[in-house]
Amino acid sequence: MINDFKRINEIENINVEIVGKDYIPVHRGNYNILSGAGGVGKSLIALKMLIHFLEEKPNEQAVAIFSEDTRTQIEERVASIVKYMRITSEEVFKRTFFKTLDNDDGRVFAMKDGRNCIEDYEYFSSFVVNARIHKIGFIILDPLERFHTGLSENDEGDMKFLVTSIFQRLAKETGTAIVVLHHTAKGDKSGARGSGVITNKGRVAYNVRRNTVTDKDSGLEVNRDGWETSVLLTTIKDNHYVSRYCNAINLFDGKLELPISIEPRVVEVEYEM
Amino acid sequence: MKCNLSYLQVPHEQGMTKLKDAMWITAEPLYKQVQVEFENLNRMFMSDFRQISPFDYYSGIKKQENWRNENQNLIILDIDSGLSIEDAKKEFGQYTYFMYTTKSHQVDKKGVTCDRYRIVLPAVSIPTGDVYFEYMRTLEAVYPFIDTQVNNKTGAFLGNADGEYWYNNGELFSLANFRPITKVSAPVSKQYRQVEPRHDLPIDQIKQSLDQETVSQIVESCGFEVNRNFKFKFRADERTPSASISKDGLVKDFGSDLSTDIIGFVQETKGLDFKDAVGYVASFINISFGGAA
Repeated sequence: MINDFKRINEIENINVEIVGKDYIPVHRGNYNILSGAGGVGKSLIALKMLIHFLEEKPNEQAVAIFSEDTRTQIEERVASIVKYMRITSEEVFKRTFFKTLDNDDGRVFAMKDGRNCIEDYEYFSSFVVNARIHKIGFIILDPLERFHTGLSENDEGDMKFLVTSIFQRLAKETGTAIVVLHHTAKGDKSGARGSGVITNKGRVAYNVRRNTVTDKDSGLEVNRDGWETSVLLTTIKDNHYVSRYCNAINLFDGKLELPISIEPRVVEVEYEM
Repeated sequence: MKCNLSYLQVPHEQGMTKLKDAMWITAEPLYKQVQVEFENLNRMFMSDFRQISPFDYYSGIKKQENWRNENQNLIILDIDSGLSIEDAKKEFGQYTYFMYTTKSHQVDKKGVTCDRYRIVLPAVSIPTGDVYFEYMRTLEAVYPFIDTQVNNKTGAFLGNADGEYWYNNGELFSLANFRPITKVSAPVSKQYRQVEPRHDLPIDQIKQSLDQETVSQIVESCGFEVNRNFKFKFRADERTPSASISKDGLVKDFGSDLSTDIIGFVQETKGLDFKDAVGYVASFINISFGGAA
Protein backbone atom coordinates (compact mmCIF):
# COMPACT_ATOMS: atom_id res chain seq x y z
CA MET A 1 0.00 0.00 0.00
CA ILE A 2 1.27 3.45 -0.86
CA ASN A 3 1.03 5.74 2.12
CA ASP A 4 1.59 9.36 1.20
CA PHE A 5 -0.42 10.83 4.04
CA LYS A 6 1.89 13.26 5.85
CA ARG A 7 1.67 15.05 9.17
CA ILE A 8 2.56 18.73 8.95
CA ASN A 9 5.93 18.20 10.67
CA GLU A 10 6.86 15.55 8.09
CA ILE A 11 6.57 17.92 5.16
CA GLU A 12 9.73 19.54 3.89
CA ASN A 13 9.33 23.26 3.65
CA ILE A 14 9.98 24.66 0.19
CA ASN A 15 11.73 27.92 0.60
CA VAL A 16 9.94 30.64 -1.31
CA GLU A 17 12.31 33.37 -2.40
CA ILE A 18 10.82 36.74 -3.07
CA VAL A 19 12.71 39.34 -5.05
CA GLY A 20 11.95 43.02 -5.56
CA LYS A 21 10.95 43.65 -1.99
CA ASP A 22 11.88 47.30 -2.24
CA TYR A 23 9.54 47.89 -5.17
CA ILE A 24 7.06 45.35 -6.54
CA PRO A 25 7.78 41.86 -5.17
CA VAL A 26 7.55 38.65 -7.19
CA HIS A 27 8.39 34.98 -6.68
CA ARG A 28 11.66 33.53 -7.79
CA GLY A 29 11.56 30.13 -9.53
CA ASN A 30 8.08 30.80 -10.71
CA TYR A 31 5.96 32.65 -13.22
CA ASN A 32 4.47 36.02 -12.32
CA ILE A 33 2.20 38.13 -14.44
CA LEU A 34 1.71 41.84 -14.91
CA SER A 35 -1.36 42.65 -16.95
CA GLY A 36 -2.84 45.87 -18.18
CA ALA A 37 -4.19 47.67 -21.19
CA GLY A 38 -1.83 48.63 -23.99
CA GLY A 39 -0.04 51.91 -23.34
CA VAL A 40 -0.77 52.01 -19.61
CA GLY A 41 2.89 51.64 -18.64
CA LYS A 42 3.46 47.92 -17.97
CA SER A 43 6.83 47.86 -19.69
CA LEU A 44 8.05 50.79 -17.63
CA ILE A 45 7.02 49.14 -14.39
CA ALA A 46 8.59 45.85 -15.47
CA LEU A 47 11.82 47.61 -16.41
CA LYS A 48 11.92 49.27 -13.03
CA MET A 49 11.32 45.90 -11.35
CA LEU A 50 14.28 44.54 -13.29
CA ILE A 51 16.53 47.43 -12.27
CA HIS A 52 15.54 47.00 -8.62
CA PHE A 53 16.43 43.32 -8.94
CA LEU A 54 19.88 44.19 -10.30
CA GLU A 55 20.43 46.53 -7.39
CA GLU A 56 19.24 43.88 -4.93
CA LYS A 57 21.37 41.07 -6.43
CA PRO A 58 24.70 42.57 -7.48
CA ASN A 59 26.14 39.22 -8.61
CA GLU A 60 23.31 38.29 -10.93
CA GLN A 61 22.13 39.35 -14.37
CA ALA A 62 18.81 39.72 -16.14
CA VAL A 63 17.12 39.19 -19.49
CA ALA A 64 14.50 41.54 -20.91
CA ILE A 65 12.58 40.79 -24.07
CA PHE A 66 10.63 43.92 -24.94
CA SER A 67 9.33 43.09 -28.36
CA GLU A 68 7.18 46.23 -28.62
CA ASP A 69 9.84 48.79 -27.66
CA THR A 70 12.90 50.10 -29.43
CA ARG A 71 16.43 50.22 -28.11
CA THR A 72 16.25 54.02 -27.91
CA GLN A 73 13.05 53.92 -25.85
CA ILE A 74 14.62 51.49 -23.42
CA GLU A 75 17.80 53.55 -23.10
CA GLU A 76 15.72 56.65 -22.31
CA ARG A 77 13.61 54.81 -19.77
CA VAL A 78 16.59 53.31 -18.01
CA ALA A 79 18.25 56.73 -17.79
CA SER A 80 15.05 58.13 -16.29
CA ILE A 81 14.64 55.35 -13.74
CA VAL A 82 18.21 55.23 -12.45
CA LYS A 83 18.16 58.95 -11.62
CA TYR A 84 16.50 57.99 -8.35
CA MET A 85 18.61 54.91 -7.63
CA ARG A 86 22.14 53.96 -6.68
CA ILE A 87 22.69 51.80 -9.78
CA THR A 88 23.92 53.44 -12.99
CA SER A 89 22.66 53.05 -16.55
CA GLU A 90 26.01 51.55 -17.52
CA GLU A 91 25.66 48.83 -14.95
CA VAL A 92 22.09 48.06 -15.99
CA PHE A 93 23.18 47.66 -19.62
CA LYS A 94 26.23 45.64 -18.65
CA ARG A 95 24.21 43.16 -16.61
CA THR A 96 21.11 42.85 -18.77
CA PHE A 97 20.61 41.04 -22.05
CA PHE A 98 17.98 42.78 -24.16
CA LYS A 99 15.89 41.79 -27.09
CA THR A 100 14.01 44.76 -28.51
CA LEU A 101 11.95 45.59 -31.56
CA ASP A 102 15.30 46.22 -33.29
CA ASN A 103 16.75 42.73 -32.84
CA ASP A 104 13.75 40.50 -32.19
CA ASP A 105 14.04 37.31 -34.26
CA GLY A 106 10.44 36.30 -33.52
CA ARG A 107 11.37 32.81 -32.38
CA VAL A 108 8.70 31.35 -30.11
CA PHE A 109 8.62 28.72 -27.37
CA ALA A 110 5.28 27.14 -28.24
CA MET A 111 3.29 26.55 -31.39
CA LYS A 112 0.35 24.61 -32.71
CA ASP A 113 0.72 21.43 -34.73
CA GLY A 114 -2.73 20.43 -35.82
CA ARG A 115 -4.71 20.28 -32.62
CA ASN A 116 -1.65 19.78 -30.43
CA CYS A 117 0.51 22.34 -28.69
CA ILE A 118 4.22 21.63 -29.15
CA GLU A 119 7.38 23.33 -27.98
CA ASP A 120 10.52 24.37 -29.82
CA TYR A 121 12.78 22.26 -27.60
CA GLU A 122 15.97 23.53 -29.21
CA TYR A 123 15.05 27.16 -28.49
CA PHE A 124 13.78 26.37 -25.00
CA SER A 125 16.92 24.40 -24.09
CA SER A 126 19.20 27.10 -25.47
CA PHE A 127 17.33 29.73 -23.46
CA VAL A 128 17.63 27.68 -20.27
CA VAL A 129 21.32 26.88 -20.74
CA ASN A 130 22.17 30.49 -21.59
CA ALA A 131 20.30 31.64 -18.49
CA ARG A 132 22.33 29.20 -16.38
CA ILE A 133 25.65 30.18 -17.99
CA HIS A 134 25.05 33.91 -17.53
CA LYS A 135 23.67 33.61 -13.97
CA ILE A 136 20.34 35.12 -14.91
CA GLY A 137 18.00 35.76 -11.99
CA PHE A 138 15.23 37.85 -13.54
CA ILE A 139 13.48 37.55 -16.90
CA ILE A 140 10.91 39.86 -18.47
CA LEU A 141 8.84 38.47 -21.32
CA ASP A 142 6.83 41.23 -22.98
CA PRO A 143 4.16 40.53 -24.14
CA LEU A 144 2.80 37.01 -23.63
CA GLU A 145 1.60 36.61 -27.23
CA ARG A 146 5.14 37.16 -28.50
CA PHE A 147 6.18 33.73 -27.16
CA HIS A 148 3.71 31.48 -28.95
CA THR A 149 2.20 31.17 -32.37
CA GLY A 150 -1.16 29.68 -33.19
CA LEU A 151 -2.28 29.07 -29.61
CA SER A 152 -5.61 30.54 -28.59
CA GLU A 153 -5.52 32.82 -25.55
CA ASN A 154 -9.14 31.92 -24.87
CA ASP A 155 -8.49 28.18 -24.90
CA GLU A 156 -7.81 26.79 -21.44
CA GLY A 157 -5.78 23.84 -22.77
CA ASP A 158 -3.59 26.02 -24.98
CA MET A 159 -2.89 28.52 -22.23
CA LYS A 160 -2.27 25.77 -19.69
CA PHE A 161 0.41 24.42 -22.02
CA LEU A 162 2.01 27.84 -22.47
CA VAL A 163 1.91 28.76 -18.80
CA THR A 164 2.81 25.45 -17.15
CA SER A 165 4.89 23.69 -19.81
CA ILE A 166 6.77 26.78 -20.93
CA PHE A 167 6.74 29.67 -18.44
CA GLN A 168 6.62 27.75 -15.16
CA ARG A 169 9.06 25.15 -16.47
CA LEU A 170 11.40 27.90 -17.69
CA ALA A 171 11.32 29.50 -14.23
CA LYS A 172 12.03 26.18 -12.50
CA GLU A 173 14.80 25.11 -14.88
CA THR A 174 16.57 28.47 -14.57
CA GLY A 175 15.69 29.37 -10.98
CA THR A 176 14.69 32.84 -12.13
CA ALA A 177 11.80 35.16 -11.41
CA ILE A 178 9.82 35.41 -14.63
CA VAL A 179 7.54 38.36 -15.20
CA VAL A 180 5.25 37.98 -18.18
CA LEU A 181 3.45 41.06 -19.44
CA HIS A 182 0.00 40.60 -20.86
CA HIS A 183 -2.56 42.90 -22.41
CA THR A 184 -6.07 43.41 -21.19
CA ALA A 185 -8.76 44.90 -23.33
CA LYS A 186 -8.80 48.70 -23.13
CA GLY A 187 -10.63 49.83 -20.03
CA ASP A 188 -10.89 46.29 -18.65
CA LYS A 189 -10.53 46.22 -14.89
CA SER A 190 -11.08 42.52 -14.41
CA GLY A 191 -7.56 41.24 -14.97
CA ALA A 192 -5.70 39.61 -17.84
CA ARG A 193 -7.23 38.99 -21.25
CA GLY A 194 -8.10 35.46 -22.32
CA SER A 195 -8.32 32.27 -20.35
CA GLY A 196 -8.33 32.49 -16.56
CA VAL A 197 -5.40 30.07 -16.56
CA ILE A 198 -3.06 32.92 -17.51
CA THR A 199 -3.73 34.63 -14.20
CA ASN A 200 -4.55 31.65 -12.02
CA LYS A 201 -1.32 29.81 -12.74
CA GLY A 202 0.80 32.86 -11.94
CA ARG A 203 2.39 32.85 -8.48
CA VAL A 204 1.71 36.55 -8.22
CA ALA A 205 -0.56 38.39 -10.64
CA TYR A 206 -0.70 42.15 -10.78
CA ASN A 207 -2.94 44.34 -12.86
CA VAL A 208 -2.05 47.88 -13.89
CA ARG A 209 -4.65 50.41 -14.94
CA ARG A 210 -5.04 54.14 -15.20
CA ASN A 211 -6.09 55.85 -12.02
CA THR A 212 -9.47 57.17 -13.10
CA VAL A 213 -12.91 57.88 -11.69
CA THR A 214 -16.29 58.18 -13.41
CA ASP A 215 -17.32 61.77 -13.98
CA LYS A 216 -20.78 62.24 -12.50
CA ASP A 217 -21.90 64.70 -15.16
CA SER A 218 -20.60 63.08 -18.30
CA GLY A 219 -20.36 59.45 -17.18
CA LEU A 220 -16.89 59.24 -18.73
CA GLU A 221 -13.76 57.85 -17.08
CA VAL A 222 -11.53 60.77 -16.17
CA ASN A 223 -8.26 61.04 -14.28
CA ARG A 224 -8.64 61.41 -10.56
CA ASP A 225 -7.79 64.91 -9.42
CA GLY A 226 -4.12 65.14 -8.59
CA TRP A 227 -3.40 61.70 -10.05
CA GLU A 228 -3.24 62.61 -13.74
CA THR A 229 0.00 60.73 -14.32
CA SER A 230 -0.69 57.79 -12.07
CA VAL A 231 -1.47 54.13 -12.55
CA LEU A 232 -3.21 51.80 -10.14
CA LEU A 233 -1.48 48.52 -9.34
CA THR A 234 -3.80 45.81 -8.08
CA THR A 235 -2.98 42.33 -6.86
CA ILE A 236 -5.22 39.83 -8.64
CA LYS A 237 -3.56 36.78 -7.16
CA ASP A 238 -1.08 36.60 -4.34
CA ASN A 239 -1.20 33.27 -2.50
CA HIS A 240 1.85 33.93 -0.38
CA TYR A 241 0.91 37.52 0.35
CA VAL A 242 4.18 38.82 -1.08
CA SER A 243 2.65 42.19 -1.84
CA ARG A 244 2.96 42.99 1.87
CA TYR A 245 6.57 43.76 1.03
CA CYS A 246 5.60 46.24 -1.63
CA ASN A 247 7.38 49.50 -0.99
CA ALA A 248 4.29 51.51 -1.78
CA ILE A 249 2.36 49.95 1.10
CA ASN A 250 5.14 50.21 3.61
CA LEU A 251 5.77 53.85 3.05
CA PHE A 252 2.50 55.52 2.40
CA ASP A 253 -0.52 53.50 3.27
CA GLY A 254 -1.02 52.25 -0.24
CA LYS A 255 -0.26 55.50 -1.97
CA LEU A 256 3.22 56.54 -2.94
CA GLU A 257 4.67 58.72 -5.58
CA LEU A 258 7.12 56.60 -7.50
CA PRO A 259 8.97 58.15 -10.39
CA ILE A 260 8.73 55.20 -12.72
CA SER A 261 8.75 56.87 -16.08
CA ILE A 262 10.00 59.84 -17.96
CA GLU A 263 6.79 61.54 -16.90
CA PRO A 264 6.67 60.53 -13.26
CA ARG A 265 3.64 58.44 -12.48
CA VAL A 266 2.10 57.54 -9.18
CA VAL A 267 1.57 53.96 -8.20
CA GLU A 268 -1.22 53.11 -5.85
CA VAL A 269 -1.48 49.56 -4.60
CA GLU A 270 -4.81 48.05 -3.70
CA TYR A 271 -5.45 44.72 -2.06
CA GLU A 272 -7.99 42.23 -3.20
CA MET A 273 -7.51 39.51 -0.60
CA MET B 1 46.23 21.68 -16.54
CA LYS B 2 46.28 17.92 -16.99
CA CYS B 3 43.71 16.34 -19.30
CA ASN B 4 42.62 12.74 -18.72
CA LEU B 5 42.02 10.58 -21.75
CA SER B 6 42.51 7.11 -23.17
CA TYR B 7 44.04 6.32 -26.51
CA LEU B 8 44.67 3.40 -28.78
CA GLN B 9 48.06 3.46 -30.46
CA VAL B 10 48.66 1.37 -33.54
CA PRO B 11 52.25 0.13 -33.81
CA HIS B 12 54.01 1.83 -36.66
CA GLU B 13 55.95 -1.29 -37.53
CA GLN B 14 52.77 -2.92 -38.77
CA GLY B 15 53.07 -0.57 -41.68
CA MET B 16 49.40 0.26 -41.79
CA THR B 17 48.46 3.50 -43.42
CA LYS B 18 45.17 3.84 -41.61
CA LEU B 19 44.20 3.16 -38.06
CA LYS B 20 40.95 1.56 -39.21
CA ASP B 21 42.94 -1.04 -41.23
CA ALA B 22 45.30 -1.70 -38.37
CA MET B 23 42.50 -2.33 -35.89
CA TRP B 24 41.37 -5.34 -37.88
CA ILE B 25 44.64 -7.14 -37.38
CA THR B 26 45.30 -6.12 -33.79
CA ALA B 27 44.19 -9.02 -31.66
CA GLU B 28 43.51 -7.06 -28.51
CA PRO B 29 43.49 -3.34 -29.12
CA LEU B 30 44.14 -1.89 -25.68
CA TYR B 31 43.36 1.66 -24.65
CA LYS B 32 45.88 3.32 -22.38
CA GLN B 33 44.89 5.89 -19.79
CA VAL B 34 47.09 8.95 -19.79
CA GLN B 35 47.28 12.48 -18.50
CA VAL B 36 48.31 15.05 -21.05
CA GLU B 37 49.07 18.68 -20.37
CA PHE B 38 46.49 20.87 -22.12
CA GLU B 39 49.25 22.64 -24.05
CA ASN B 40 50.37 19.26 -25.46
CA LEU B 41 46.98 18.06 -26.72
CA ASN B 42 48.10 18.72 -30.28
CA ARG B 43 50.82 16.10 -29.85
CA MET B 44 48.17 13.57 -28.87
CA PHE B 45 45.53 14.43 -31.48
CA MET B 46 47.67 15.29 -34.50
CA SER B 47 48.50 11.69 -35.37
CA ASP B 48 46.99 9.27 -37.87
CA PHE B 49 47.80 6.33 -35.62
CA ARG B 50 45.72 7.18 -32.59
CA GLN B 51 42.13 6.80 -31.62
CA ILE B 52 41.30 8.94 -28.59
CA SER B 53 38.51 8.80 -26.04
CA PRO B 54 37.73 11.09 -23.11
CA PHE B 55 36.68 8.01 -21.10
CA ASP B 56 38.48 5.11 -19.35
CA TYR B 57 37.93 1.48 -20.26
CA TYR B 58 38.39 -1.27 -17.73
CA SER B 59 41.17 -3.63 -18.90
CA GLY B 60 41.82 -1.23 -21.77
CA ILE B 61 39.18 -2.88 -23.93
CA LYS B 62 36.68 -0.48 -25.44
CA LYS B 63 33.32 -2.03 -24.66
CA GLN B 64 30.15 -0.59 -23.19
CA GLU B 65 30.45 -2.68 -20.04
CA ASN B 66 34.06 -1.53 -19.51
CA TRP B 67 33.18 2.16 -19.74
CA ARG B 68 34.15 4.48 -16.86
CA ASN B 69 34.14 8.27 -16.59
CA GLU B 70 35.11 8.97 -12.98
CA ASN B 71 38.27 10.75 -14.18
CA GLN B 72 36.78 12.46 -17.20
CA ASN B 73 37.67 16.12 -17.51
CA LEU B 74 37.34 16.62 -21.28
CA ILE B 75 34.34 16.99 -23.54
CA ILE B 76 35.00 16.31 -27.22
CA LEU B 77 32.53 17.72 -29.75
CA ASP B 78 32.56 16.42 -33.33
CA ILE B 79 31.26 18.94 -35.84
CA ASP B 80 30.65 17.76 -39.38
CA SER B 81 28.42 20.52 -40.71
CA GLY B 82 26.28 23.43 -39.65
CA LEU B 83 28.93 25.63 -38.05
CA SER B 84 32.07 27.02 -39.65
CA ILE B 85 35.33 27.06 -37.76
CA GLU B 86 35.21 30.86 -37.56
CA ASP B 87 31.71 30.75 -36.06
CA ALA B 88 32.77 28.01 -33.64
CA LYS B 89 35.60 30.23 -32.42
CA LYS B 90 32.99 32.90 -31.59
CA GLU B 91 30.48 30.44 -30.11
CA PHE B 92 33.06 28.87 -27.80
CA GLY B 93 35.28 31.93 -27.48
CA GLN B 94 34.70 32.30 -23.75
CA TYR B 95 36.03 28.80 -23.03
CA THR B 96 39.40 27.10 -22.96
CA TYR B 97 39.57 24.74 -25.91
CA PHE B 98 41.76 22.86 -28.36
CA MET B 99 40.31 22.58 -31.86
CA TYR B 100 41.58 20.53 -34.80
CA THR B 101 40.39 19.72 -38.29
CA THR B 102 39.58 16.12 -39.20
CA LYS B 103 40.51 14.11 -42.28
CA SER B 104 37.23 15.04 -43.94
CA HIS B 105 37.67 18.80 -43.44
CA GLN B 106 36.75 20.58 -46.68
CA VAL B 107 36.42 17.20 -48.44
CA ASP B 108 33.38 16.36 -50.52
CA LYS B 109 31.11 13.97 -48.58
CA LYS B 110 27.77 13.14 -50.14
CA GLY B 111 28.01 16.34 -52.15
CA VAL B 112 28.75 18.55 -49.14
CA THR B 113 32.11 20.26 -48.68
CA CYS B 114 32.43 22.15 -45.41
CA ASP B 115 34.48 22.67 -42.27
CA ARG B 116 34.78 19.43 -40.29
CA TYR B 117 36.58 19.57 -36.98
CA ARG B 118 36.57 18.69 -33.32
CA ILE B 119 36.54 20.88 -30.25
CA VAL B 120 38.21 19.49 -27.14
CA LEU B 121 36.95 21.33 -24.07
CA PRO B 122 38.50 20.88 -20.64
CA ALA B 123 35.42 20.78 -18.46
CA VAL B 124 34.22 20.81 -14.87
CA SER B 125 31.13 19.42 -13.14
CA ILE B 126 31.01 16.33 -15.33
CA PRO B 127 28.59 13.86 -13.75
CA THR B 128 29.78 10.29 -13.41
CA GLY B 129 27.88 7.29 -14.69
CA ASP B 130 25.08 7.02 -17.21
CA VAL B 131 23.57 10.36 -16.19
CA TYR B 132 26.48 11.95 -18.09
CA PHE B 133 24.72 11.10 -21.36
CA GLU B 134 21.55 12.86 -20.21
CA TYR B 135 23.62 16.02 -19.90
CA MET B 136 25.04 15.35 -23.37
CA ARG B 137 21.50 15.13 -24.80
CA THR B 138 20.85 18.67 -23.51
CA LEU B 139 24.13 19.78 -25.01
CA GLU B 140 23.12 18.27 -28.36
CA ALA B 141 19.78 20.12 -28.24
CA VAL B 142 21.51 23.42 -27.55
CA TYR B 143 24.25 22.84 -30.14
CA PRO B 144 22.39 21.04 -32.96
CA PHE B 145 25.47 21.07 -35.17
CA ILE B 146 27.19 18.42 -33.03
CA ASP B 147 27.47 14.93 -34.48
CA THR B 148 25.42 12.91 -31.99
CA GLN B 149 26.50 9.48 -33.20
CA VAL B 150 29.81 9.55 -31.35
CA ASN B 151 28.35 10.69 -28.02
CA ASN B 152 28.08 7.22 -26.58
CA LYS B 153 30.12 4.92 -24.37
CA THR B 154 32.31 3.58 -27.15
CA GLY B 155 32.59 6.74 -29.19
CA ALA B 156 36.22 7.60 -29.93
CA PHE B 157 37.94 10.09 -32.18
CA LEU B 158 40.59 9.58 -34.82
CA GLY B 159 43.58 11.85 -34.85
CA ASN B 160 44.77 13.72 -37.92
CA ALA B 161 48.45 14.30 -38.61
CA ASP B 162 47.79 16.74 -41.43
CA GLY B 163 45.15 18.85 -39.75
CA GLU B 164 45.23 22.44 -38.57
CA TYR B 165 44.77 23.19 -34.91
CA TRP B 166 44.06 26.10 -32.60
CA TYR B 167 44.17 26.75 -28.86
CA ASN B 168 42.04 29.17 -26.90
CA ASN B 169 42.27 30.24 -23.30
CA GLY B 170 39.20 31.20 -21.34
CA GLU B 171 37.05 29.82 -18.57
CA LEU B 172 36.46 26.10 -18.13
CA PHE B 173 33.36 24.67 -19.76
CA SER B 174 30.85 23.66 -17.07
CA LEU B 175 28.60 20.74 -17.86
CA ALA B 176 26.44 21.68 -14.87
CA ASN B 177 24.72 24.27 -17.06
CA PHE B 178 23.54 21.43 -19.29
CA ARG B 179 21.79 19.43 -16.59
CA PRO B 180 18.84 17.62 -18.13
CA ILE B 181 15.89 19.75 -19.13
CA THR B 182 12.57 17.96 -18.98
CA LYS B 183 10.79 17.52 -22.27
CA VAL B 184 7.13 18.21 -22.61
CA SER B 185 5.46 14.82 -22.99
CA ALA B 186 4.01 14.26 -26.43
CA PRO B 187 0.28 14.95 -26.59
CA VAL B 188 -2.06 12.06 -27.25
CA SER B 189 -3.57 12.15 -30.68
CA LYS B 190 -5.58 9.77 -32.77
CA GLN B 191 -4.17 11.22 -35.96
CA TYR B 192 -1.90 8.25 -36.75
CA ARG B 193 -2.48 4.58 -36.30
CA GLN B 194 -0.26 1.55 -36.01
CA VAL B 195 -0.35 -0.85 -38.94
CA GLU B 196 -2.06 -4.10 -38.10
CA PRO B 197 -0.34 -7.28 -39.35
CA ARG B 198 -1.88 -8.65 -42.54
CA HIS B 199 -0.69 -12.18 -43.17
CA ASP B 200 -2.00 -12.50 -46.69
CA LEU B 201 0.72 -10.07 -47.77
CA PRO B 202 4.49 -10.74 -47.60
CA ILE B 203 4.88 -8.32 -44.67
CA ASP B 204 7.44 -10.35 -42.77
CA GLN B 205 9.54 -10.86 -45.89
CA ILE B 206 9.42 -7.14 -46.65
CA LYS B 207 10.29 -6.11 -43.10
CA GLN B 208 13.25 -8.47 -42.99
CA SER B 209 14.59 -6.97 -46.20
CA LEU B 210 14.37 -3.39 -45.00
CA ASP B 211 17.36 -1.61 -43.55
CA GLN B 212 17.83 1.98 -42.44
CA GLU B 213 19.25 3.00 -45.84
CA THR B 214 16.32 1.52 -47.79
CA VAL B 215 13.77 3.11 -45.47
CA SER B 216 15.62 6.38 -45.97
CA GLN B 217 15.23 6.03 -49.77
CA ILE B 218 11.52 5.36 -49.42
CA VAL B 219 11.06 8.37 -47.14
CA GLU B 220 12.91 10.51 -49.70
CA SER B 221 10.65 9.18 -52.44
CA CYS B 222 7.73 10.52 -50.41
CA GLY B 223 9.15 14.03 -50.75
CA PHE B 224 11.29 14.38 -47.64
CA GLU B 225 14.99 15.17 -47.49
CA VAL B 226 16.79 12.74 -45.21
CA ASN B 227 20.20 13.79 -43.89
CA ARG B 228 23.13 11.52 -43.24
CA ASN B 229 22.04 11.00 -39.63
CA PHE B 230 18.75 9.65 -40.97
CA LYS B 231 16.81 12.64 -39.73
CA PHE B 232 14.38 14.71 -41.75
CA LYS B 233 11.96 17.62 -41.46
CA PHE B 234 8.46 16.22 -41.25
CA ARG B 235 6.79 19.64 -41.34
CA ALA B 236 7.66 22.46 -43.73
CA ASP B 237 8.10 25.08 -40.99
CA GLU B 238 10.71 23.16 -39.02
CA ARG B 239 14.10 24.71 -38.41
CA THR B 240 15.77 21.46 -37.47
CA PRO B 241 14.70 17.94 -38.38
CA SER B 242 12.32 16.49 -35.82
CA ALA B 243 11.75 13.10 -37.43
CA SER B 244 14.21 10.24 -37.60
CA ILE B 245 14.58 6.73 -38.92
CA SER B 246 15.71 4.19 -36.35
CA LYS B 247 18.16 1.38 -37.05
CA ASP B 248 15.28 -1.07 -37.27
CA GLY B 249 13.55 1.10 -39.84
CA LEU B 250 10.85 2.69 -37.69
CA VAL B 251 9.94 6.30 -38.41
CA LYS B 252 9.40 8.60 -35.45
CA ASP B 253 8.59 12.29 -35.34
CA PHE B 254 9.36 13.93 -32.01
CA GLY B 255 7.19 16.94 -32.81
CA SER B 256 4.02 14.82 -32.96
CA ASP B 257 3.00 11.34 -31.97
CA LEU B 258 3.97 9.82 -35.32
CA SER B 259 5.72 6.54 -34.66
CA THR B 260 5.18 3.94 -37.30
CA ASP B 261 6.87 1.53 -39.66
CA ILE B 262 7.58 2.55 -43.24
CA ILE B 263 4.33 1.04 -44.53
CA GLY B 264 2.29 3.20 -42.16
CA PHE B 265 4.43 6.19 -43.11
CA VAL B 266 3.76 5.66 -46.83
CA GLN B 267 0.04 5.31 -46.08
CA GLU B 268 -0.01 8.62 -44.22
CA THR B 269 2.13 10.66 -46.56
CA LYS B 270 1.03 9.29 -49.95
CA GLY B 271 -2.59 8.68 -48.98
CA LEU B 272 -2.45 5.02 -50.08
CA ASP B 273 -4.47 2.18 -48.61
CA PHE B 274 -2.60 -0.58 -46.79
CA LYS B 275 -2.24 -2.96 -49.73
CA ASP B 276 -0.96 -0.28 -52.10
CA ALA B 277 1.45 0.99 -49.44
CA VAL B 278 2.86 -2.53 -49.04
CA GLY B 279 3.24 -2.75 -52.81
CA TYR B 280 4.97 0.63 -52.91
CA VAL B 281 7.47 -0.40 -50.24
CA ALA B 282 7.98 -3.83 -51.85
CA SER B 283 8.95 -2.18 -55.13
CA PHE B 284 12.07 -0.76 -53.44
CA ILE B 285 13.36 -4.18 -52.44
CA ASN B 286 12.38 -6.12 -55.56
CA ILE B 287 9.69 -8.19 -53.91
CA SER B 288 6.65 -8.66 -56.06
CA PHE B 289 3.23 -9.97 -55.23
CA GLY B 290 -0.26 -9.79 -56.67
CA GLY B 291 -1.11 -6.38 -55.37
CA ALA B 292 2.30 -4.75 -55.90
CA ALA B 293 2.18 -1.24 -57.30
